[in-house]
Amino acid sequence: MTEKICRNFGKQGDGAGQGAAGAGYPPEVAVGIMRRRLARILFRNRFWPFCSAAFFIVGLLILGGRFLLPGWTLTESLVLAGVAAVAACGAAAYRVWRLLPDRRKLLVYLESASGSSGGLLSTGLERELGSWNARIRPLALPDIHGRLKYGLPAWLAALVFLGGTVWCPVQRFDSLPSGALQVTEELEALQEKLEVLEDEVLIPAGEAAELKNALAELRDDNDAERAGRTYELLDKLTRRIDSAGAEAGTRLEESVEALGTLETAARTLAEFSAGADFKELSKEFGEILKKLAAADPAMADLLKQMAAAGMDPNNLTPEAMNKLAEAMKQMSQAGGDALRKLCDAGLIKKQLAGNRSGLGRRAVNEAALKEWLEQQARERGGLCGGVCPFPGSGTGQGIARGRADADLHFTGQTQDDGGERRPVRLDHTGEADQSVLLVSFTAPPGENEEVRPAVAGNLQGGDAIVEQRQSTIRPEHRAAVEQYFKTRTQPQAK
Amino acid sequence: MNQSSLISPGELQPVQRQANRILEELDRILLGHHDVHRLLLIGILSRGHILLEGLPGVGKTALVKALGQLLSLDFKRIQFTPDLLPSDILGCNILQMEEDGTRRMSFQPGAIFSNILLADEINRASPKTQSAMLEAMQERAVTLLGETRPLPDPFFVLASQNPIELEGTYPIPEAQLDRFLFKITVSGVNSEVLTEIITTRRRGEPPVSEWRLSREELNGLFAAMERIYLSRPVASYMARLVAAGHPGDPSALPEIKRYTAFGASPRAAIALAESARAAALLAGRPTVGFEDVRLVAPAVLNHRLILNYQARLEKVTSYDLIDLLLKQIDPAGIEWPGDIVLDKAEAKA
Repeated sequence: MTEKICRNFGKQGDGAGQGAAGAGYPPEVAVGIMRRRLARILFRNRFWPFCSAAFFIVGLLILGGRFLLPGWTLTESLVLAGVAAVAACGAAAYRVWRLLPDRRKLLVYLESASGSSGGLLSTGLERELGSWNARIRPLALPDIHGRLKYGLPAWLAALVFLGGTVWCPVQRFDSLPSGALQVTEELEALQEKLEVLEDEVLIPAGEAAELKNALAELRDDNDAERAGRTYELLDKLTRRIDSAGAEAGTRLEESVEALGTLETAARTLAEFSAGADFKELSKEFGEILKKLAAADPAMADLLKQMAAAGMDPNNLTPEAMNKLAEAMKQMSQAGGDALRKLCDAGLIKKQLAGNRSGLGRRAVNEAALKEWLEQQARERGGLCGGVCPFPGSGTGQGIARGRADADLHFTGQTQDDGGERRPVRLDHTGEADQSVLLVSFTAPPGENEEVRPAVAGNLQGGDAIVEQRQSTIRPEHRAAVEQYFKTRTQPQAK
Repeated sequence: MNQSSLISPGELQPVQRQANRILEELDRILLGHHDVHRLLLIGILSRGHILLEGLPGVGKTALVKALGQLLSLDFKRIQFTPDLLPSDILGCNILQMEEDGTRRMSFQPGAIFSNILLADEINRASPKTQSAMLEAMQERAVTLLGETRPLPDPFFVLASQNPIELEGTYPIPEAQLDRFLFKITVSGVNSEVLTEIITTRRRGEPPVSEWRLSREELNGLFAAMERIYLSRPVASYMARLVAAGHPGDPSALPEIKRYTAFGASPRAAIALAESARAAALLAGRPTVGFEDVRLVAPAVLNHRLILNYQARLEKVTSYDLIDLLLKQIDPAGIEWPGDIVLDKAEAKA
């Protein structure tokens, strides 16, 4: 039938059909133009709503993806948005295809709208018009308007929503799984500690990986219904990481101390290079370096660097000594930085770290300290309590040494022994530097008194009264207990 | 004649000229009623009966008389009164004595046995009389005492009724109104036309036309009418127009549902098609166009849309609803999406 339309209307070209140029279009052309106009308007009016809906849906998907799925990236969000736009295009095109009137109906419409063809075009769809073809007149096209209403604002709103879902910060849901205990802060603290240890290469890679896996496992197994197990795992992992951190801190501190001492020694030797026994002292110094290198990897690295620079540890010149001292100083400072990071992560106590990372070169003369303490004990007839073996345990308890102008503090927890505490100033190495030590003195136990065994919380033993809870706090109550004490202590802190 | 081909321009043009000549003569005889004349001629060409409604003195009777003269048709007039009997219209058998003294029943035809019957003030006759005539209009035959007598061909009833002075009248029932092809409202004329009438017509008598259309020519007009082609899209438009006038139809407009009690009958669609053919013939076209449908639709549908009380209360007329139908019903049957607005200004320009 379409061919018939074409045949009939093709004939009108030699008649009045094209006679009135500019007054209208030949029927076939008019139908084509109107279909294109309609399609364009219909597509536009449907694309915006479809696109808006698609953007809202995709926005929600992106939000869900970012919230729920690990590894969700910006690229995936943008790809999804692109797919939504393409899908909206497709849907709009499909709707246009369904809504667009067919050519025959459009032709009839145009004929009726023109009001001048007298049914000839409609008749031409059914039978030959013969000589009446010449009477077909050009068709004028109506103005077509599309009412968009709220399409564009809705699209803009959807676009803003989509942009918001793509760009706004969202905490991933897997960090707080449904039905999990509120241990996010603890896990993050452990993660931070672990990262510090890993970054500073303070623990072996294997151990770091093992701890990492344990942490991930704890995250995955975080289940409020098995709170006891979760807390148990958390405590266990916390102890492991803290222990590893403490050990690393100890090693680092020893290394820093050693470097500081060696640096001082190297500088002193360099100053006495004119002495007769310089060579002998230098040799001995070299031997000490070798021994230390056997135990300390950092020292071993230093020796390797020296060898690379052509310096023989057994035959060090004053210049080499100074260079060595400078290198040791830098290493010591790097160690100090690492200690500070450990401190920030909570792996070691701040005061201790500050002391250790401060300047180990100005360390207290241990022998003088020991001698002085023993002397004090003898003179005062008491024991020196609260003194931890130098350089202290990794928990930060015990004596902390600091700069010469800073007080020494005892930062650990100890039982109230009722002894007298007073600040004392210690001689260091005979120089002007002095440190102050807050020392607690207590009476020695009587001969009849037996030393009580250490109880939980008091590893150093003694007769301290330690509060022991008779009631058991079940692990699942821990969160409530912690929350209770947090709310009780916060106003006081303020 | 090749049924599949349209009437040729050479065949159509003489017929169109004759039809237009009738129209011109009518316009010359009766001033200021061109649209009424055209619709009347369309009705005649469609072989339909026409109801003219208008105030007294607007020229209804003169128009019918002039038409009868121009078409060379036998014309009779009956003034309907309440005491008019069916036999006065249809005729009756009377006992008549022959010359030889024998008596026998002889049929005396009534006024209806003519080509054009002017039923003046038809609503003044009793329903019985109205029904007798309306039955003859439909059957185009009169049956008396078991004997059926066909009416002359062509046969038209041109009835008139007065919209005022309704006391003592019998309004024609809607079912019987449906038998009139058109109901044409004859209104008054403006002052210019009145001036023309007063100055050119002595005692208001219309001029007598010397021109007459012969019977053969009239039959030629009717034959040409048979060849006017009605295409399916236009027929579909007519059907949708009539269907949309029914309040129960799914396609009915809200206004139709609100103001209409009953819609037009299928006979209205047939009348629409026939009268649109005549309109195309008058326009000199071999096919019925949408504009032909729009031209005749008010006259065909106005007495067939039965309005409800709500419409009377709000003074909504059937013409208002027909205008609405013509505007709202898409000729092509396209259901345009709601967001598409078509401005036909350019097309009309």
